[in-house]
Amino acid sequence: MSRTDGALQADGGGHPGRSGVPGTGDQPVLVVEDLGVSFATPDGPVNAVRGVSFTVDSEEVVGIVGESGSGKSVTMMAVMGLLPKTATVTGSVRFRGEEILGLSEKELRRHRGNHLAMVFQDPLTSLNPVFTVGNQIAEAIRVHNAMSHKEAVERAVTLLELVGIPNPRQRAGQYPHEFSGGMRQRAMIAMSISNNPDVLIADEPTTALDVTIQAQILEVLDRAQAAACSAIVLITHDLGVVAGMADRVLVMYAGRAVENGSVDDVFLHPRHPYTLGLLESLPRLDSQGHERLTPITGAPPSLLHPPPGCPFHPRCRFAQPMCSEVVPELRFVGGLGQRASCHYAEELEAVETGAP
Amino acid sequence: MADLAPPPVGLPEPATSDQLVEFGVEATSQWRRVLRRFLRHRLALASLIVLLVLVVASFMGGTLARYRYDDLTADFSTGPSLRHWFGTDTIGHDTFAQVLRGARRSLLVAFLVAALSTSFGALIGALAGYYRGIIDLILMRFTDLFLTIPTLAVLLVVAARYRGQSGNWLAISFVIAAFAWMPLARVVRGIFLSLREREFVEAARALGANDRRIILRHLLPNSLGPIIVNATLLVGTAIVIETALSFLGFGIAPPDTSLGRLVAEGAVASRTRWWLFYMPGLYLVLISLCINFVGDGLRDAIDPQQKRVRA
Repeated sequence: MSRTDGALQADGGGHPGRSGVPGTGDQPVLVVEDLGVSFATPDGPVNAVRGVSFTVDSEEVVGIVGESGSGKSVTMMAVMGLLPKTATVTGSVRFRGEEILGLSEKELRRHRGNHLAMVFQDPLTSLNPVFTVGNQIAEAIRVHNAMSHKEAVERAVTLLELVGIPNPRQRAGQYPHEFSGGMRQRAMIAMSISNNPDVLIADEPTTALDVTIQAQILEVLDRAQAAACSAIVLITHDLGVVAGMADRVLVMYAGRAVENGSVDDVFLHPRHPYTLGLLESLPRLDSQGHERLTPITGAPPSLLHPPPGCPFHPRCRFAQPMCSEVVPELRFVGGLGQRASCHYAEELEAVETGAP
Repeated sequence: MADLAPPPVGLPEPATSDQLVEFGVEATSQWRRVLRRFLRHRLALASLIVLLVLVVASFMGGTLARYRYDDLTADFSTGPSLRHWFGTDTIGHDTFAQVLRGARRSLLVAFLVAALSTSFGALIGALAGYYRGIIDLILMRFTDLFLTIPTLAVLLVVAARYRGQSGNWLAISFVIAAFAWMPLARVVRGIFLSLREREFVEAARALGANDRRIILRHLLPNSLGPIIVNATLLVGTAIVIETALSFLGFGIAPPDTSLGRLVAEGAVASRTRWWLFYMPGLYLVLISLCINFVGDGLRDAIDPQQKRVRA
């Protein structure tokens, strides 16, 4: 994992116990197949997500990386059924074998919070300003459990303690504005695991926070995961976070999954030029000289008029004529279960990540 | 806010006072801040005190005043004096006792109107703002319809039906309330339209909360400030409308009385026995003025954007 060591250290270390072995054995908790999301706009449909498939095994951490507008968040919002009515969602999302795409609001509510929970990016706006933090968590608990307010508040205090909030009892009686950013995110995490969800979706949980707090929040997520025995889907654009937290990673570009595999495989042997580009644009601590970073040239394509063929070909330095004509399939390449959607994935083997 | 039971086993003890100082975490609720800001607003505070005095006097009038409203005294048509603060009428009724009794009815009507129209307006606004689309369209056109109706004319027509029936104050209240809810409905709709897009609503939905829970537990408490202010100001408006109706003879029917009726009856004698007209009139003006100042003070206290307190 030499490639990501630099970013790793900034995040306070990885997880020795979890070395990129994909979830084993039992049936996956969440199966997303050929998910498509399009939004109707006056200029025509915008296909924000096109044919994304992935699975999440129980107690596994899956990272979804990609730049802004690549469809990471929209994918998970579609899974939660939280997209506005203007969105058309196709494909299949199965939670423990049950199809949850197209369920009614009422049926979805049974899953939300209980089976699938979400941590949002900005913890300040995600907390209701007029309720104390303890009451809000209690409220979240009582949505799915028949228990008295008092019991729920007790549980909220326990949860706040679990996520590392000092003086949880006092803190529970305070309002969100009296919490610092990191504390708020901890409270958010406490709330999201309050019903022991099977899958916890964390949508850029550290983006709105100070870098120094990020490591702590990731550590809290890790602890929360252990306590609630849930799988985590970590949406982020921070490769270091993925390297530190995730077992498997899904790289998205222009609404498509371009690479999918264990963190080790993908980071050490990227089989898609976009992944390679992402890794090369990261600074590394172990580089000796004053090497320049290699940016990915150009800008992400308009989803309104995506380029024909491979969506990445206009920016790809390995692009061949075929790339602008045929859309590459996401196919198995290289390592254990690693998949990439590049016509020339095998050739990338020669381009080792260390040598631009 | 959270009532916390003694800690169960396995949890750390509650923080000691040292820790409290260290974190500076004495929970200050939003409403305590509002109260503090309100107390700093001198005019509103003074108005509130005067208003409380007036309201208490009106409701306890029977026991406080020297005369009951139906006492016939030996003083006919005397001006204000120490004995009869507000004077007496031709047959010796004490005007002060009459005013207190009238004010009680007027206030009851006003509170009822405020309660009815606030809840109805908030409900309509909440549904329209939360669900948007066709529901919003229907509810808001319904609101517009009510706004276009010339209120006083309809009030007169409807009130005429109940004219002269004793105990018609309930009907009068409903009629006034039916024409007072629209502005609040629009305000609440606006607030809901903006609040529903906030992330905490999405977060609540992601946690499995249903619409009713989101509206009642998340959105409504967040819009309580403007609703309270509106309700307060409505009390003032309702008193004035009730007076207008009664003055025109379509309001509270005898033997019941209200400030409006007293003013109407006294108007005939406003030249010769001015106290019969001005005393209930002043009482009325004082009440509605105080309510409006209190409402202003509340608005300033609740709206944190407004740093400078208008005084």
